[in-house]
Amino acid sequence: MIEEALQWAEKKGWTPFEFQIKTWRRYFDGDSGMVNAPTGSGKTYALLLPILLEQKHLGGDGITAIWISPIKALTREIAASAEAGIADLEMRATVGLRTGDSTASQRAKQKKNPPHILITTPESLHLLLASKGYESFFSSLRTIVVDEWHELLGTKRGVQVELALSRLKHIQPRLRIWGISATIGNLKEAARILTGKESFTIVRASIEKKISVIPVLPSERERFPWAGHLGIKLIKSVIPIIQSGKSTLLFTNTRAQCEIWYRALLEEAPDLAGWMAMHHGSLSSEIRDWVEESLHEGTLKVVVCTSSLDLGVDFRPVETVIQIGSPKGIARFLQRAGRSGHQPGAISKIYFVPTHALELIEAAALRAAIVQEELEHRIPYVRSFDVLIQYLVTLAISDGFKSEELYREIKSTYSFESITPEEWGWVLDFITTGGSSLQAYDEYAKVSIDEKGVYRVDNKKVAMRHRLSIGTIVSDAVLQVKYLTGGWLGTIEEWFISQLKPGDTFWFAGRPLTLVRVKEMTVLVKRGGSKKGKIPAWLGGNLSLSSNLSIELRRQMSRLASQTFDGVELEALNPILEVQAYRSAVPKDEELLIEYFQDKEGFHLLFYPFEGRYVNEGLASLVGYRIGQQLPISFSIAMNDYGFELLSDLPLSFEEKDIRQWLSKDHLTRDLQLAVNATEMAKRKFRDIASIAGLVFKGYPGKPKKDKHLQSSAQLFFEVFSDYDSDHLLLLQAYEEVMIFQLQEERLRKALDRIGQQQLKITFPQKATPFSFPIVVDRLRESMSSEKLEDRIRKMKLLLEKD
Amino acid sequence: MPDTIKRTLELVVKGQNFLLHPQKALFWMEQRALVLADAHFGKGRHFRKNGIPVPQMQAEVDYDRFIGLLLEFKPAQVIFLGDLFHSSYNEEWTSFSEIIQKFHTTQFILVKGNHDILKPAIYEAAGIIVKEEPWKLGPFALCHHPLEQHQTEYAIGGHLHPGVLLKGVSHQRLRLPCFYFGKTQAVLPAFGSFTGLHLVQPETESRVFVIGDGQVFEKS
Repeated sequence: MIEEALQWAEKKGWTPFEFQIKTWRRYFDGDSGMVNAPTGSGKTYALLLPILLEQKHLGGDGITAIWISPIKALTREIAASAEAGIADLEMRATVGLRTGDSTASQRAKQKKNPPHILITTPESLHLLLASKGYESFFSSLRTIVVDEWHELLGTKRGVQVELALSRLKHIQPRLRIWGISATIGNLKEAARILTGKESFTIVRASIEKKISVIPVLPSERERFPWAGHLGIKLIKSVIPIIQSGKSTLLFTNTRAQCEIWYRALLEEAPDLAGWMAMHHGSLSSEIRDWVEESLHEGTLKVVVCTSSLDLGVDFRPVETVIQIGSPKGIARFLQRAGRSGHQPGAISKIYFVPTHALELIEAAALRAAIVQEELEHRIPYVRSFDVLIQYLVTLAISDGFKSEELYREIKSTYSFESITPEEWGWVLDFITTGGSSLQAYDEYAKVSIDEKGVYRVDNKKVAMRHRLSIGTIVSDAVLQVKYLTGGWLGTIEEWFISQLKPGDTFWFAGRPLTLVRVKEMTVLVKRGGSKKGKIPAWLGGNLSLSSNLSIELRRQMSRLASQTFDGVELEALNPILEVQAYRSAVPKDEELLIEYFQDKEGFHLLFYPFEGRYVNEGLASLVGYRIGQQLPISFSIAMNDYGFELLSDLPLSFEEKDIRQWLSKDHLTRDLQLAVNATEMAKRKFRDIASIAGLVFKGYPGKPKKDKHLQSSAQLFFEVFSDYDSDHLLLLQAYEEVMIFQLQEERLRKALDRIGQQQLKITFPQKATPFSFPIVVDRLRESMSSEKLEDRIRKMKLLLEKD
Repeated sequence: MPDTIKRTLELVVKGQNFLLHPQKALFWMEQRALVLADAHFGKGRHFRKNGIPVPQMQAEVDYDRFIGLLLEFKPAQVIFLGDLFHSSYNEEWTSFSEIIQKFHTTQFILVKGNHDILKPAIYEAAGIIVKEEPWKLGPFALCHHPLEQHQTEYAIGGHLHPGVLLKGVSHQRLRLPCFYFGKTQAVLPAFGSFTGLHLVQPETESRVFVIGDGQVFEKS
């Protein structure tokens, strides 16, 4: 068959890449494995072609291959490639799509006449497992391909994939599993987790792409402002880049930033109207699909986007990529840079636009990091009991499951390798009786056990609600934005809308909208309104600088301090560093800088470990907690990738030995846990957990009125479990997730080791410094208090609208 | 004005005397009436019956709080300002009726809210008098829903589960449930503990009483 593959390539006039040929060989040998290749490198045909050839020669009725893609947009592209391949190979085979867009009649047709090749998403695959008779539906399966596995791995959708595979492997023990992944630091681990095998193949595409990082600097005459957000201030330098290129992707880090840049570009360069578009994860799929198609056709000059366009199909017309603000990680930056320069040997150019002056150092750090090619690890989710609960109910809806058999399957996955029989028992209790905290067993209706020991869902309403909730791995308080006249624009978070009154204007999807009213879960709007309307923000949008990039950042910092920095950014950075050195100090490699000053807001205590926002947050909570143990005090905490601030209304007196004690590794795990309890971090993590585990039912269009009586919020559940069932596994999971993903306990430990070796450089500036400014002005703050609630209430005033 | 710090707080509205209780209840002295809004009894069980596990203890604690108030005030009447029972009938109603039957010298009155969908016979059997809103008593119109338009009587209602944000120096913020006394109407906090909080924006000339640390504080 390999000959036929080569002939196919010849007929197309293509020279197959070495990695493609190697993959074909390994595939026909019956291996499982991972293809490591970037977007636009021909990775699809590396696996699609052998699947088709095998179908041509071995035949087989029913589904023989499943292709799983993380995004819907990509499934259509894969289907088109498969159809083209089938035509080229002059063979008979059918291709089917199964996504959230599939209609009921398409689904029914597919069930009757399954396609040979099924292209789907993780959620839709789970929905297939929720339909009766799925075992026979999948009985001819030979191969599963998981596309963009690096993107799924560090998410709960990755756990979803692991669980679905464990079931399919049981149905078809000889199943071959292949993944496709961009380069990540833990590629081997990624392959092992996906295939679940000890021996597997990794095929690496050695396609070298040259990347050039060009910092966007203010013109010479302009003074580089160090205080404040300057992202938009560089817009005048950005517009010529857009105008000189054919098609540009402008990446922002958050959806809010995306909206802000879009509006600013419209104002500054009105001639771009009609040639520019916006793309982010909260926009409706109609809008996003339109943008993607227009990008393909080359009819757009610029698309302002977020990570929503990191993935997926290659947009050939794109020649230029602009990154606004820190990309936070080397892998992400490379992926984005790779979106331009498609011709072999072409240099991918990426423009880096700092959003505050210090970020210029990151341009230098990125350049150095790219040369060293030290890419980040993707940390896989483990012990995600919320996903497990959802999965068990899924199986109980369709054909049911038996405890012992399924326990073995679950335990074979990486995610649940460490699950204990007690925890398994807890999860089964949770879905059958509601868990240990319920005394009235008889009334709880979800999953029941029949006389043969099979776990099933009998209640039709429970089954329907569950099906609707699969795939909603999103937070609870999301409202739909719709025109009064019809037409869906996207989703927005409740806290933002709650600040607005009917008649107020806000910007969304790149246009001004006037709020008409909020009705249940829908925000009704009409077009138009003031140009100055508020721009929404979405919580949880802040990524942290990766460990690898943090190391490189510290290296560049110390070069600056020792005056051996030689990047092109130096000239722009110099005036800022002078102010920093004058008001406080520029820390050397062996120093930890600490600043303390007072102004009308209170007493500011700042630390600069340069560890990335998540670890800095962990350190902030730890220090805040430890200070709070010595005296009753309330802090508001802010941080960025460089440092963190503890702000309070009380003065602190401290000496070097106090600081050493706040940053000590003694009782670290205990103190961290107590610190987390004192903040709202776990409560925020619980939002997703409650939703996935089916506690929070969000309702759906056309729902029966009585279902409104089942609406609640993750926050309520967090409180009620904390009060009455503090050992609840889902609650513990929230805390565990904070430790692993938010505070990154391992990284934090290493940071404390490093800090332990450093000298403390404590300064008392008269006012904010270039280092402290971006942190001090941050308004999204965590708070922590060891004061009595009564005392805090007494000191406070009502927050009125004008504030 | 310094904050008044007492366990309960006294308040005069339209010449009538009230006690604001930190257990999210109002006591009207002239009428010897205990006024509660949005108790949502039976909510946890309603969830459980639909496959969503809510700890049983939550309901028990709310009953204890309710009984505590009855014992403390020995009211002549208890007025529920709507959303007394969360949804359709479940066994929790039996527990609730058993409690109120022990207080046979007290009259129980429900001003109907949007959640109160039980059949009239069920309320009747439990000895609860049902009133449609607005129910006029003394100088007040007792309601569940806040009124869209001002009526001649000062309205007292619930439904919103009101809360406010407090701010302090150094970006301190606190979100707390409250009693809200506006120019034309008052909104009581939700009595039920398995209910959310809806932030309200105080108008001028309104008085806000927050609840925290088992106390009631007036805030401005």
